[in-house]
Amino acid sequence: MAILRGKFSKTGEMKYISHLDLVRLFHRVLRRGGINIAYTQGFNPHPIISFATALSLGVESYGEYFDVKLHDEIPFQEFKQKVNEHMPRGIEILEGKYIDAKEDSLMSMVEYSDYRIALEFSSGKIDEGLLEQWINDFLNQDAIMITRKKKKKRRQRHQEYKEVDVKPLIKKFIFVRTDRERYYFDTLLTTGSKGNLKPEDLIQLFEKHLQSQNTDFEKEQSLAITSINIIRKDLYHKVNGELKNLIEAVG
Amino acid sequence: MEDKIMKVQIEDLLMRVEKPARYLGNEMNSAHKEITEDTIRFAFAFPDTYEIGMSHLGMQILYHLLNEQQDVFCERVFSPNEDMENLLREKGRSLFALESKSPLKNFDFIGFTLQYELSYTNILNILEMGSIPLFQKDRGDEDPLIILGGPCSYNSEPIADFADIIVLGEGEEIILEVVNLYKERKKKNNYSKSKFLKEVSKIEGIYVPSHFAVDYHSNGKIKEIRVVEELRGEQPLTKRIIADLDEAYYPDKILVPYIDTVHNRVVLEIFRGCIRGCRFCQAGMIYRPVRERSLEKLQNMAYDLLQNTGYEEISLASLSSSDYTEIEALIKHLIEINQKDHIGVSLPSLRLDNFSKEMIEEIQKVRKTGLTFAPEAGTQRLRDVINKNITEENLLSSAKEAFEMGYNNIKLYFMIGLPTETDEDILGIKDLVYKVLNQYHNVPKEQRAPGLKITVSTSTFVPKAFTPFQWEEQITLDEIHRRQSLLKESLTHRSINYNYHDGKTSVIEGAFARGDRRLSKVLYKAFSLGCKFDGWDDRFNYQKWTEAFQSEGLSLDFYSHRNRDYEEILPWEHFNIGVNKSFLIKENERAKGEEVTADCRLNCSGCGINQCFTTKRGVC
Repeated sequence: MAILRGKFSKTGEMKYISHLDLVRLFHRVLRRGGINIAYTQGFNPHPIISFATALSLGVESYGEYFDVKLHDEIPFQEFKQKVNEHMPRGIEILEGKYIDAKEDSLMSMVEYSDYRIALEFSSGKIDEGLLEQWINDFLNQDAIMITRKKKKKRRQRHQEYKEVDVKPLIKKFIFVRTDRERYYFDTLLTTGSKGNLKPEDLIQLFEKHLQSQNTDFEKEQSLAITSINIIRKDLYHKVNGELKNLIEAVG
Repeated sequence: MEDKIMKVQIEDLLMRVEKPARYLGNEMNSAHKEITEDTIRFAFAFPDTYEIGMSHLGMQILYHLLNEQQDVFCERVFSPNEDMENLLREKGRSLFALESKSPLKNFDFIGFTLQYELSYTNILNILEMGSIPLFQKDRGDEDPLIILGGPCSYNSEPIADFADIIVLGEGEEIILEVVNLYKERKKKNNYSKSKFLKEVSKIEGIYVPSHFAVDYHSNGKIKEIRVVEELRGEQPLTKRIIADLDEAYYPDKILVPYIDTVHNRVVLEIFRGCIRGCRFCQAGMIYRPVRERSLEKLQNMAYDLLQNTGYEEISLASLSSSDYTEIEALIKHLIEINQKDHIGVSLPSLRLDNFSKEMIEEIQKVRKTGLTFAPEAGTQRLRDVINKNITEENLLSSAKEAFEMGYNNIKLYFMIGLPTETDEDILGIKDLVYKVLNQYHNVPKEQRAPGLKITVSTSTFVPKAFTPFQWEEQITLDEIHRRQSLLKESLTHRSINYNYHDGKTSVIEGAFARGDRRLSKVLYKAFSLGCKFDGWDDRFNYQKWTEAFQSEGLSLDFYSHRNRDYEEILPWEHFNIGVNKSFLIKENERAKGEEVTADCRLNCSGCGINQCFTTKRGVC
């Protein structure tokens, strides 16, 4: 048995495939590619493959990861070629390496994700200095509260909600550049079991903040975000204070 | 040309709809072709959701068959879900084919499959969303040809006014002849639709409804079905079938959806036709004669299909899988080759009388699947009436074996409203279910799995064309409700779950299943009133349907709740499925006498099919 950790991209139309569909697609492509995958025991055996973290529908990514258990080690290049041959355009295995079975699971290793976000605004053009000011104001709040669903207890019928401060989860949020009326931002967000903020939630919070702060706009019309495009660039684990992607992070 | 490659823009809509993967069109094994001036464009339209349409085997066969032709590009169209439909209408955009995103009016053909009567409004909706005139008479040379096929073709009169061409019989046998003829004619400059329709009607198995007219008596019954265009002379119109399934086209790959669908697996069609002759079953009559694929052919097909899809499950498809002559050898083989990859084998349409414990044990080695039994009726008397040759002992011993093997979840299917049914038969269902329940309790506690669940489902009997019951009345809505309540009140045990559909859908289905051409107007009216997705309980609107019947001056009672006599001209009288009317009459009489008819392997009952067709690897 061998465990292969792979990194892949999910771009273009493939951003419309849900996480569950992606898992199923991997199962089928691995089988189609003739990869000697190991299966779980029990009545409904399925391939032993796990993913780092689910990507939201509509988000593209160049840094997704999986761990797959194989019956025997085959050269990574061969694996990559066989799998990519059968993957739809938009999903591509990029790199990979065999890891020790004792390594932590992908899911527990994920700590951060970085994203490139492109936004368009209802007002069309926006002054860049103003945009930076808004980000500063946004980040300088004492707390950035989000409403989240509480986990339902057994037999509980009604959904309960709670307020959570996500400010500590935003490690970086900066304006990068403009391309005509598209505004690009970079952000690094805590991801995984110890805390999780989705980029689309960040943008929603940012938009709410803009609308509450910009009374000038409100007289005319409230400023709204009319288009959002998000690309995940990579997933990280902190090793000795340094961010390493999930392949670099293992020995 | 520019118009031909025009695309409907949907990129901005995809994040606003549920399951956008329904609309991508780039699934594994999908076809993508360059569209040129010479490309014949065929849109295969399934008038229901993606999840249902993608589970349809006929679509998979025709899609790949057409796409293997150099100059033909076949794409898929499904009924868009409500959210997508609303967005497209709101933005004034046309419905599109999935692969190229071209609007429907850019196609040469739009082919609809008629799987069930309650999908007809969705056909009109697809046409309307594609800006295509609904009625055949309103379409010109530039509009796509609307071609229909599938089981409901055998009584397609209620939708005849909307169709250019209707295929009687097995599509893969005929479709290339139609497309090739069109290609030839289209190349010439003086193409005209009416000329093409005259020529295409000469192909055996092709029905052009506009070449016929129907006259009625004052009492509403049909007086005459007349030919209004000169035909090839031969009457009635005979269906086309594949003589040798081993030689017939079958794709070596099928489309693999991203999202989960109803039948998300490799489907291996092992034979067509059925030896059984259940008297309520339309499929059992219209798909005659029985034709099997050889074991060797099936082994090769299974290998290719699994190889080319990566599917985790393979299912055998036929009307009664355990009737395949080499079923045990086939299952053994499939399990043997698939054990390593943990590919499950599932067997729908098992019959109780030849359900073998060994077979189930084999299947269980890989993957455990649920068990479904279909006794169809609650008493032996009624099972004899419908010619479902299953005994109570068959069911009880099979149930016992299943419980001993550790099954705790069993489904039982019945019909209510069958001809001659009395309350005794309804309560017979209850008795049978409780006997199954007792079988479970008779298995020692340490051997059986805890948590028994018996799901009882009833559907309401709908008399269908070309069955021995085609003359019978359907029970009324009130009677359906009464019989359902009677059963519901008698099935009170906590391990028993009773499911049934509202009878209202069955009544409308009943009218269309045996309706004549006048129902085209009712269909149009119902659609105009907003009816669509009528097969879905949550979208079906009975009130609008009754309104549509009323406004066209037609009565549901006449179509659904009326006994016909043998002399009456039925709306499908001009079709020939190969089974004789005299056989259907004989079977109806035998039903009344509670006499069973042996299956085709035991004894030929002389249905007439072998006078019409010669086949290979069949029974006759």
